[in-house]
Amino acid sequence: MFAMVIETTNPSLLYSMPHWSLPFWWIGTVLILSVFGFAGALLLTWLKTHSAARAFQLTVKALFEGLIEIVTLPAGCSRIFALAKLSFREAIRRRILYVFFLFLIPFLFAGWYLPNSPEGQLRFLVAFVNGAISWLLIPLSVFLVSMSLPTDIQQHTIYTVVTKPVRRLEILVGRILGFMGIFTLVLLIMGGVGLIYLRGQSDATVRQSQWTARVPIYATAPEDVTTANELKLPLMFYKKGQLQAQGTNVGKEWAYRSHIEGATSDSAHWFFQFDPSQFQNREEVPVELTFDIFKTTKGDPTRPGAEESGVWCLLRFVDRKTGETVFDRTFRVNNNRGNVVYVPAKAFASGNVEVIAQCLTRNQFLGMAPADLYLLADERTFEGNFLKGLVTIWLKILLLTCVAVTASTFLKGFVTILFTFMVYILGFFHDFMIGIVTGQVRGGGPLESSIRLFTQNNQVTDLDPNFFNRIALGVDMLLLELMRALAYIIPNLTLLDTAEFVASGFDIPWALLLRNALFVIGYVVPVVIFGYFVFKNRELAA
Amino acid sequence: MNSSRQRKIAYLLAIVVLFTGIIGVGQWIQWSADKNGLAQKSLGKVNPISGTAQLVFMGMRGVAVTFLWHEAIELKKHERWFEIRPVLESITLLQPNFVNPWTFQAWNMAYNICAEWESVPDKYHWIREGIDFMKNAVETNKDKTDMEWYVGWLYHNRFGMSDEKTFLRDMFRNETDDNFALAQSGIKDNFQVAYDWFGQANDTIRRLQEPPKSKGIMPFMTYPALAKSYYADLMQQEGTFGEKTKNAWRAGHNEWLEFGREGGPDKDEDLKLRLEYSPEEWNKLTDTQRYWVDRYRGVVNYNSWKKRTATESTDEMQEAREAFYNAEKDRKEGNYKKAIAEYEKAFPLWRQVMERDANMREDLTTIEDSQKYERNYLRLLRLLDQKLPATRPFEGLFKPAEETPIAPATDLKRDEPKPIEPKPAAERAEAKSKDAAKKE
Repeated sequence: MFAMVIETTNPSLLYSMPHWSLPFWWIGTVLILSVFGFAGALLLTWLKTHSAARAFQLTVKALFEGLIEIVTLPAGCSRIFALAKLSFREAIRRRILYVFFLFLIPFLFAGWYLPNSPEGQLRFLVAFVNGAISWLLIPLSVFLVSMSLPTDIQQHTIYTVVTKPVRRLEILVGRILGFMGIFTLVLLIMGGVGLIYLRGQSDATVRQSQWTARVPIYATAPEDVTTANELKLPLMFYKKGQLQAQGTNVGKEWAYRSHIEGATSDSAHWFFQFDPSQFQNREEVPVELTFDIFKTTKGDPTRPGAEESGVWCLLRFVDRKTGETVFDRTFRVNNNRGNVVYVPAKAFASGNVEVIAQCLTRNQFLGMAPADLYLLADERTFEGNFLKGLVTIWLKILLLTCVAVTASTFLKGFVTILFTFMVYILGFFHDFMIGIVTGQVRGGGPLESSIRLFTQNNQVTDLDPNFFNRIALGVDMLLLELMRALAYIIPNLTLLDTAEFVASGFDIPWALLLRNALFVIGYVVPVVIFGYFVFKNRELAA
Repeated sequence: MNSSRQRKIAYLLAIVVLFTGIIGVGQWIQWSADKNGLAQKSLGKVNPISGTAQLVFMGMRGVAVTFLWHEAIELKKHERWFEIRPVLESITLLQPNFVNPWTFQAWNMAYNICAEWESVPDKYHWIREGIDFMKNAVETNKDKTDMEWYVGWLYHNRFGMSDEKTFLRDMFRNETDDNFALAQSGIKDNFQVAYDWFGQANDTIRRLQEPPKSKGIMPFMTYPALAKSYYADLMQQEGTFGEKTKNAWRAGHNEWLEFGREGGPDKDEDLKLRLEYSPEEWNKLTDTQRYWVDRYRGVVNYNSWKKRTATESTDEMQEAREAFYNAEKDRKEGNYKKAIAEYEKAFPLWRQVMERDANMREDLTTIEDSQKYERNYLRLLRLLDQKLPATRPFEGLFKPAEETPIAPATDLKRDEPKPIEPKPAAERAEAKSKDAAKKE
């Protein structure tokens, strides 16, 4: 059995703030940005009219008209639909469907690069299919959407629309919906082809063991138990007579797992709280686990049975309501290999279970992380999961389409393309940008790192405090502040990624999809509204 | 004629001239690359996939490789072993003739990643991955002696010298893929396959008259002989004796002699790097030449190997080895009386060979083995309360081994799990608070 590792557990863990506060954060951010927007508009109008009072009057009027238009948007639904149909047709007229031929080309050659081992195969294939779809569809959408509005304005075809009784917001929304319609269609067809390809290319052994979408129940932090320093954690380690957040550090570079020592009283404790009714009709529940082993001695490799060696682990399930051990099992753990323990369903009757792991082999260590042990609640189909994964790509396209439509209300076509691609690329380097601004990524700002690069200076020592370097550091401070501001405006696209789930055979949690959708909608709504205000006040006859 | 047409004609002429020039320059570059052995086809097998990959990246090849290399390191850090191989393939597709990534990553798989796995079949898999990767390297890069040698080294060292060699060699013998495991001699053995590869590397050296880059030419060229000698040695260690083993030792001996007579190419024509001379030839050598021959013999341990391979193939030596093998086996299995009898059968034979052969007496491995046998024998006598002999079996031949206490036989029960009753966390916390209360 292959190792089953996915490094994220609960999507909720990704946010440090409590859930209920998120809408307030969002509203606050939008309000602050609106104030800035209003001030900007006021300033521009003032420069044009040379009268502060007149400018204020005009801006407030425009704001109110705009707000009324936004609130009454659903009333224009038939017009929006007509406009959407127009964009849909436009896309077809521009031969967007030809992209399929392009799409098929990489599939012809992918076989050349396929890994031959079954272990990494599905991961590679999923990455390839997802990559092929996004690398074709995302540039395509950016090009098409960015050029659409500026071309209409330049060729005056926009007059045929703006002279009709439609509102400007309806033009924008209709355009977005129309394009999204065609992109959705293309995405679905590509996804279908990709799925057929995945099925055809993967080995039978791979399909047997990995062609699935596991629904795990992970451990959650209990209310009544804390570590010695009062942390509530899903996995706690018992060491030196008390519960701790970490076990023994064996010095691995990857600090994902923490270790417990063999033949000592050290142990690892997972706490599970779940609805027990879901296991009512089942005889047993598989508990899957992937532990790491760390050996301080190799032992005699020629002794009998040594070729099967490993480290012994004792797993105990304790019902936390009664305090009784309901199940235990001793088994051998091998490196990078998963284990499955089938536990009778009645052990989970209370829905509140503690799982205790101990290492039994002297001088050896077992390493574990919170997500390394889970109850397998259900297995869904790989196909469904793959489709769920496509939603991520769809959300990315939606985000970029809205950004491109907004940008194209005030930028020329090619500039819009560049702008949108910049947002997309920076979106993937969001963590890196934050890292540089907060100093977590070493090397300093753009000037400092260039100096280090050209003078072959390392990243750790302080720069020589000469005149030139001081100026560079000063300029860097400004640039970094700029970057900080930028980092808060650019969407963090790495958060959206769900391909890892599909490739590792884990069901994408609905909560994660919902979070991603909220994230994109929360980003897109203010962007489109901003675009609307720009578009509304733009002189199209220019 | 108007100016526009004139301009067009001028452009056309410029195009023709430039294109003709470029074709000429291109031809010249191709010709000089061919001449210097730098054209792709003279470097090794031309791979269309590699070609397309390089074309797609155009000038960004270096950047792409840097990213991929970084990714390979990250994957290793995150212990995602199965994803590394495709990344490595991509790197070598982009830079097929850069030697270091090939050897570095083959080493990485066959040694480092292999060590991260626990069971022998897993280890075997990763050694094989490393070797297959290195074989691709040899195919893509023609006449790279160090690469050919390295394939041989992986077979030689990873399968034949690691702690798990007993199991690994056993799996190797049962390998179904003949391309991987079958040597030219028709034997499925890692040392035999290693011998083929070492031989190929030496042939390349003799053909190109160029020394290897990774190590000195003399040690480099001893490897075919070493592989044959280790083959015979491992047969003994695994309990095969008699004519078959004797033949294996003889084959090893012949390899050493051939290596000594033929030598390797050297820029200095006088020397030829020969180690084996007939007495007449030896008399003709100048003092400087003798000095260097002796020196090189020392570097590769020539005399010792030549002597040992000759001695090991004798009947007495085989009998003694077999007796010692059985004695050790019986001792480990607890058949102490039988073991003592076998030891006593082996000692006089062994002594006879050692007394005759001063060279073997000075061989470190032989000394260690002899001391070990003697110590184990004496321990058994003490264990069974039997009378110790008046003199040690190797009295006057070897010093006694230092006594360090070790377990007399393999304790099979040592690794069995001893469960300790763990307590739920809450109970522990309770007990702890009770303790704390008591203290107060």
